[in-house]
Amino acid sequence: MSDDHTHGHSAHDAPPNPYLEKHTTPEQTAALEKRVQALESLLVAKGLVSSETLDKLVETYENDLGPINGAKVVARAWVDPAYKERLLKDATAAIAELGFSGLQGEHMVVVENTPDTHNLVVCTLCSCYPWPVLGLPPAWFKDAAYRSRSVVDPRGVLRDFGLELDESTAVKVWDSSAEIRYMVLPERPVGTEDMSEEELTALVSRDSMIGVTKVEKNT
Amino acid sequence: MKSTPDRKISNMEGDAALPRKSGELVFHDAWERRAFALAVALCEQGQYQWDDFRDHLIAEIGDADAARADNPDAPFPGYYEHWLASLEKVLIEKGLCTQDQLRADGGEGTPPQTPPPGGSQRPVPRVPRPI
Repeated sequence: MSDDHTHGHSAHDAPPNPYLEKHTTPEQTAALEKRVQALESLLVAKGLVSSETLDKLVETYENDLGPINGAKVVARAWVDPAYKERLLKDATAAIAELGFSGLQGEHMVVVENTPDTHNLVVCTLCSCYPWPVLGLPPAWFKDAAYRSRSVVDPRGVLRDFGLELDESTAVKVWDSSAEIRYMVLPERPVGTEDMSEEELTALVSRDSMIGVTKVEKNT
Repeated sequence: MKSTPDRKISNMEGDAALPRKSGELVFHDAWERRAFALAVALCEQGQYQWDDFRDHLIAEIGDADAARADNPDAPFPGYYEHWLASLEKVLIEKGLCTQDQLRADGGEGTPPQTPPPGGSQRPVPRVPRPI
């Protein structure tokens, strides 16, 4: 690998967040465990919460897949050329226009698929991912095989996802980092001219915004 | 209970932002998950507005940052320690619990955050940890 490819693992992680490290000693942890347990018992006794609800609730937040945000961005770009222009120029701002934010200092860049060019997003070193718009990364996105093969053999990777591109279509691979998170603006499928923005939103899959599939009219 | 996350909670920004790694929430211990769930559940049930809780959280984090700016040796509480302290404050504020109930049930409560006066330089004995 060339010398200019110097960003180490830390460059790919989100900006340093001191809370990602555990600070408590085993004694402190045990005391906190007790304190929360007592609080939970108190609130359950008061009838304010149920323990079962709490388990489900954490699951909801931990498995927050919500690529719906990205789908709304794509559908808006399809129906509103002025929005699409803003999106391709300054994706962070255009995405924020729709009320989606939560990135911690990273910039969004949206790359457009056309009949001539297909874009594919990867994070070669870890799993940088635009989660506020796409939700949590799928397991394969973090897989070493996907990360390395996308660069060496992108067409092969796409074939594995069931996408056979014409030889004439160029494939561009975008390596996400801590500073820049890429998202693909897929092509609007033919025959969707009469569909509403809401109907279009439902067509847009997470995988199409990573660039491993195209958007199909009927899914 | 809602089946989708509240964006106001999951997309908090700045100091209050939930610790995440590649988008996934980071919990170090089981109690952090529980504390997270308690605060969110009570808000979903309308016991308080999310901003009521978040304001406490931002203040807690800001106070700790200020304390460390004055004294680099000040303790560094984790995100969910701030979270738990904020939850207790909002519960008292909204009359859902009393200070006494929290302490009576919570045993020792918050450990003292300041080192003992006198400035003894004796190092804190390290806790033996099983390998």
